[in-house]
Amino acid sequence: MSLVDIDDELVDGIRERSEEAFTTVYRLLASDLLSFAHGMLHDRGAAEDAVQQAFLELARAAPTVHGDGRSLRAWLYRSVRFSCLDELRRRRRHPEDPTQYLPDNPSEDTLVPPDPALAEALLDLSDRQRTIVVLRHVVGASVDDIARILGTNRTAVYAASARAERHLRKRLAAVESGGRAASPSEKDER
Amino acid sequence: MTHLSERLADLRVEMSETTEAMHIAAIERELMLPRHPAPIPRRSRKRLAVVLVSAMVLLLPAAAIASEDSVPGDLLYPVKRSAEWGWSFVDSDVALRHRVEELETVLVRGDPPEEVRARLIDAEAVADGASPNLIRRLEQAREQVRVRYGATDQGRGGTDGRGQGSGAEGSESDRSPITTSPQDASANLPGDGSGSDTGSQDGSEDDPTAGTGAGENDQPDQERDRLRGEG
Repeated sequence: MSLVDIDDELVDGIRERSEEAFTTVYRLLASDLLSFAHGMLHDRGAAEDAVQQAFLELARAAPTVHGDGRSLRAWLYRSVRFSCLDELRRRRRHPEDPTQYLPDNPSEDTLVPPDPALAEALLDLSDRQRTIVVLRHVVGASVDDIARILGTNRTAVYAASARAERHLRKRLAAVESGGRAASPSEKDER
Repeated sequence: MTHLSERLADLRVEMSETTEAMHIAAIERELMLPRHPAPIPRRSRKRLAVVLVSAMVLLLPAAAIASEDSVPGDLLYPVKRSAEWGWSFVDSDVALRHRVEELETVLVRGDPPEEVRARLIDAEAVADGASPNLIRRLEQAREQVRVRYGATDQGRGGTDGRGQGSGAEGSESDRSPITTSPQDASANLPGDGSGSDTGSQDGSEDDPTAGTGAGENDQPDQERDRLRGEG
């Protein structure tokens, strides 16, 4: 399983700010990007905002986007990731103000995570580990794709992925048993 | 416990049609806006600022040191004059020292007389309150100008109207070719037409080498008579 491909014609269309190219790329990638953001934030409204923000940034920076379809795709994932990390940082700074990141019209789907224990265990991972786990298991990205998005190599992704899954299993077991183990997010860098 | 990968895969969500339509409309609105250059990324801005500040910290002292030996007309001369302002807070003689060094440099190089004279005037303009050593160097340089070019320019030199001097300097002015005829002076210092634009018409009061101090009163009567006769 890997990410959706974007052909070179679409990349050219994006550089030329073609509405058609943007719509096509949006339709190809929106659900994957949304799943990624949702896995990072466990908040559908904020995840949708992150996806929209990524495409708006792309519309502004389109002429300066270099490379092929994989580069463009990695660009969008990175943009979504940075929006998610900004949102998480904001939540850490203002934990007393949770309504700030709720969507305008919240539904039951947006407020209740489908798997609260897993959501909590994921949020205890470091940002980098969570990115890798979500990209690999929620979005279905390949190791190559993840390496490109994070700007690292395959070996580093393999190693980080194995470590992240080990931490996640421990955290999940601790959450489900009601206990609390030391959070790796405090030890691991982004 | 369900397998971890399956539980993670269940977190996948799909974009709803309503949200998709809203997002596409927003993107189209953004695309309708006129293009503007992409902003410099925050990280690049920080790097750029660090590079610029480092360059300034390293280059300014380097430029100030490199400009130490510059003379008017050199590329780095304005840097030297700017740095002088800063140095003047710790060393009040810096301006005169630089002017005297410039005068000595143009003398050694054998620059044209008008250039040498301009440096001499610059030096005398900042000589007030300088240390005796520097005044002595200035006197020596002035003497060299006198010996080499035969005269200093009484007209321009007198524009600052200040005397450096003492009775001893005044007696030197008596020996100075300033008291020679204007024709002689212009022969010695080509390219100068400013001798009569300031100061007195007979030039007897404007000797930059002696100033308006006691020296001007020591001019011998016979010299005055001779000048009147030539005039």
